[in-house]
Amino acid sequence: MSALIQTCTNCSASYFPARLICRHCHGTEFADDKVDAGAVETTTRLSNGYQIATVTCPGDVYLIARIIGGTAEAGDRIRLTNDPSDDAAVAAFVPLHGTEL
Amino acid sequence: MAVSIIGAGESPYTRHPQAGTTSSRTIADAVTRALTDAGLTPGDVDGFAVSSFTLDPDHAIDLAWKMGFELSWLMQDTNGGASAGNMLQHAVHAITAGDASVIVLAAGDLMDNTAFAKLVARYNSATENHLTPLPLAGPNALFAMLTSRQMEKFGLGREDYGRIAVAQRQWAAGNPGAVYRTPLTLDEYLGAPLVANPLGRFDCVPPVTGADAIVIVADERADGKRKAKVLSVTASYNADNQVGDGLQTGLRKCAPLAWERAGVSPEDIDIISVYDDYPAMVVAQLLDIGILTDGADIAEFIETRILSRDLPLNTSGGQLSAGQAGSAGGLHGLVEAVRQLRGQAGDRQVHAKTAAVSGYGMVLYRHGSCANMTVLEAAQ
Repeated sequence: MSALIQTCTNCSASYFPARLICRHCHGTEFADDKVDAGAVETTTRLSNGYQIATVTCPGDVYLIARIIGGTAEAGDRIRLTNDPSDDAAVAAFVPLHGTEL
Repeated sequence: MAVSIIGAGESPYTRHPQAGTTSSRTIADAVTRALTDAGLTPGDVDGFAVSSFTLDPDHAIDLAWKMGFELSWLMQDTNGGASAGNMLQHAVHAITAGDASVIVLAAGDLMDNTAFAKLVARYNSATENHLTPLPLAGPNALFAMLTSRQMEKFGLGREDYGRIAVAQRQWAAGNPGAVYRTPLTLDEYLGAPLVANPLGRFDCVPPVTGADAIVIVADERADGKRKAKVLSVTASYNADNQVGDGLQTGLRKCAPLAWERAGVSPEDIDIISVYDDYPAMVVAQLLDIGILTDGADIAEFIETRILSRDLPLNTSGGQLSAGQAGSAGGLHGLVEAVRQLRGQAGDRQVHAKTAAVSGYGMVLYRHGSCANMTVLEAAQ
């Protein structure tokens, strides 16, 4: 399972969360791209024990994720998943696109 | 721009609202206090704007109706911590254009545990779809990571942020309306439980129920009254499109124009209200509006200017000590600046001729997207 990143079908700009109009080419057609990995930029540990991270992907994409299946440190390359039970190995859980648009 | 604020009011903030408290009643209480302060009645009002997260199913018109306002100008704002600046920016132009002559701006919320949990879970669709399912309940983790980035960029430590919280608590001691007034020591700050490292309990605003309101009139209606003249209001929304580190706010873009239009420079300012959802955002906004110059020793500035009270900053105690009453958080700092400029700040009164007020808010996904800046001047 991967993270789903919105991509402009005209200019390939990437977005997360999804947008309505591409701010680069002003196109309105998008597709969802599966992205399998990103880089951990910052992490924090909540009082409930969860580790939350900012994960970056190419194209100025910044994801907020929960680390599952282990712990992560800034600078780590990390697997992305949209399934919170996919925790056999360390991964960053990024909830799917919803129906917000 | 010949528009002034001649009244301010705050419905007392409380952590534990009494049974039967509603957002509408709380806002109406603040409005009544502001009108009384201005020496006016509901019959004088012809313009009204309100910001609240919890009016549903009512809207601005319902509130206006129930308060007996007959209006020629009406506005509802949804911009949280940036609501005050946004409403003020519109109101100034409405008065200048002749659309209204006496405008009341109000903001407030019933913000008990249930209302807070509901608000943060469905703050917007991006939050509902991508943050709440993590699960994440509120923005602490987001601002924890932002604070870490700021610490790394500027070489700051937890004690530097702690000195901001300690200083604001000192100011709160002089504000009977603040929910936390007992002096806070740096050791207590550092020893408090971590909420999301590096943020501890005293880095986070306490949600409270309450409301704020101000009364704005054309200058000719304010003759002989102590007033806070509006010198400028500027705004910037979606300055960074939620890309980047979040360490620069929209104030970086809109503050220079606010200073230019006001004919005032940062070093002339006597009192500052900065939107303090977290101490790191106080630092970010002070940098963006030019009170802290780029390249300055931030830790030294915090110790020698803020902790020393040499710079009157968030003199109500700010939201960190007075509390965050939902949308009223955006108006709280403006009410405090108006009270200081009109000589109504009681034990915390400072000698102030000019004030700057910044708004910041609406976390779309990673950090705030809205910012605005107001410059005020005391006048008779």
